[in-house]
Amino acid sequence: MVFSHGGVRAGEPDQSRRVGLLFEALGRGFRTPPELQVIKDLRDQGDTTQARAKATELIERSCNSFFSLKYERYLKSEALYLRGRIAFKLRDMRNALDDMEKAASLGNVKAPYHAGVILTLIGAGGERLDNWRDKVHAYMLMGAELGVSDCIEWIKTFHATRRQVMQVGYWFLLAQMGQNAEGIRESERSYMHDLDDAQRTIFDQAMRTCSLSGGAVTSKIPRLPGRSTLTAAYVDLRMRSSLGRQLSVFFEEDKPENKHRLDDVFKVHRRWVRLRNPLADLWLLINQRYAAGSDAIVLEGNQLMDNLLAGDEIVVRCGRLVHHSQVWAIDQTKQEVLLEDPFYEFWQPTHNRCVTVFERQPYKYERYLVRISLLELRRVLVAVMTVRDCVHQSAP
Amino acid sequence: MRGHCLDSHRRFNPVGSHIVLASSEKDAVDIIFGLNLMGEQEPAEAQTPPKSKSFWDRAIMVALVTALLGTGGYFVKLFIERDTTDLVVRAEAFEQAIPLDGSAPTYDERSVYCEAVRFQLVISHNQKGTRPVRLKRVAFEAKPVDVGNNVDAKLEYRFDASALQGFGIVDLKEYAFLLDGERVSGQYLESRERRIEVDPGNIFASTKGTTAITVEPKGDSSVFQPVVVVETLSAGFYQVRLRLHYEIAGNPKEKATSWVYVFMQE
Repeated sequence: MVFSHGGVRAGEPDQSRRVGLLFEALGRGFRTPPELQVIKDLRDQGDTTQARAKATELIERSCNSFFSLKYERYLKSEALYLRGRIAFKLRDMRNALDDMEKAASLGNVKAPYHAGVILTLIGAGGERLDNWRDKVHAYMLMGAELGVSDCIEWIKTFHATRRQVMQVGYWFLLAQMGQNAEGIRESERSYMHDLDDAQRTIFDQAMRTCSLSGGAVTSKIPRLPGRSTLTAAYVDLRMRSSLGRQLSVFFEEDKPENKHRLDDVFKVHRRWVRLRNPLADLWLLINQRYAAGSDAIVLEGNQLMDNLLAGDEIVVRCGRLVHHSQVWAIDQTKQEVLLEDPFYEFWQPTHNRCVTVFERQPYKYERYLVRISLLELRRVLVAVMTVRDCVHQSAP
Repeated sequence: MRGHCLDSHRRFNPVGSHIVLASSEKDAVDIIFGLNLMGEQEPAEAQTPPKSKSFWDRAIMVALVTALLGTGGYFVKLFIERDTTDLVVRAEAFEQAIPLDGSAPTYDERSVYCEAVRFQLVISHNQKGTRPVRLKRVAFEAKPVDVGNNVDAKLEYRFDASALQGFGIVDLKEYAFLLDGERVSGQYLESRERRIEVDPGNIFASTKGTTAITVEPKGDSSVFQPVVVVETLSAGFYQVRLRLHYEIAGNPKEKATSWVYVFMQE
């Protein structure tokens, strides 16, 4: 699936209508490229032979026919995944496994779970397969770390069988936050009323030890809520899902005007958070050097930086260039920030005169993080969109 | 007698637009004198019988008319239809590149752009001739504005964060000039991965070499509309414009866009 940053034109006179249109566009923003749609259509029509042939054709297509290496790898990984699914349905396990493993090696987010399942079926079925249990674990861990809920469940159970309390606690919380709004509300009720303080402390510790977001946070700003343990788990899940999508996010080449107002983007994302999770809310913090709308909390520049958390989305400006990115980690000692950003080109010193420190660091599963200077970020930071507790949430 | 076509052996009648075919001398005479000097044929009932003249009188008259018309055509071409090829140059679609809170400041009753301005440079053939125009140099010019003791010059602004737009490097294929005090640099964003340094003294000179473009009287090459951005990197008040140097049939010419104010506060 390709997430397209386009399709809705800014400039509508009525903001509520603009926001509504953008929300709908984001909701349907995952669109399937035509090359993959052909394969899916053939598969859905039951023409598995043709579907496999089309998938093979795409997999074997010359690299020169794609507009970028990233797009080539994305399309081919999806084609391998689809071909593998067809093979699995036809009980051709060896070819299915082969395709799923190749897709996973290209970073495909759906393939690890299926590779793990097929390996389990083959291995547990008695066929000779070296180290299949370790491989299953590796694939399920890949899927979990990329936010795939089935893999999160598997990893949670894996750690439970080994009585690894912290890991169980961490993945358990992420699994809870992956439910629908009703499920999350029920989880919160159970967390608050069925557990005692000692048990909740274990979950707090699990988040501090194992999470990306760093666990619960108390806010230093009076008007701004903090993050409870459950909200921090939700942030972790969002970060992992965003990492999972990194390889499938592209600009629509035929729609260069990928421009939406910040306040529209904020309202749409806030609506999304509120729909998905009744415990959390999205807050907009703006640098006091700028004029801000009524939805924002205005902070002095240093305050904005001091309250920056992993999982926050930052809005930066260098001259006329504006960009959004997600904070992955902050290292105060090294004075560095790691960002999760599928559009890393903004941070290149060749294109951005405000940046001198830039590195595209390989991370995991064919993904990368962007390393920049904390000081340089301070100079260009305009606003922060941060997930915090919803103000109506009951206190622990 | 009406003009008519018989086959491919036609002679274009210099008197008018009718195509006539003369198959004999008698026919030729009848044809010529059946048509008035405006090239229109008189209705048959309005036609008067031709006067009786000798063949040579008529031939001489035809030759004289032809010569006069031919000469007249030359003079028409020389004085009325002469080639006045030139370039049309203008800067338009000015846009404050970073959204402001409130209205833009003005100076001398003209808009002042704050920190960054984007506009289109329209370069087109005026189509008043057929000569191509060789555009050899496009130079960026900037000079500081001396506000002096002008107490009415209140240049203040604030950007509106909620109106900020953009995500990533999307404004490709535009020329950007960066003003830093007296220093000016130029760049062209060819792609998200590649940026080319251009010489502000001539945007056609870059790290890829020096080129020029030809503006044709018609077709796709008759209009060029590059997007230009001017950004200030340090506090100051500037006037900026672009000056074009070109040639028409070897004759050098210049044109410049109007001055535009760009300002950055302390």
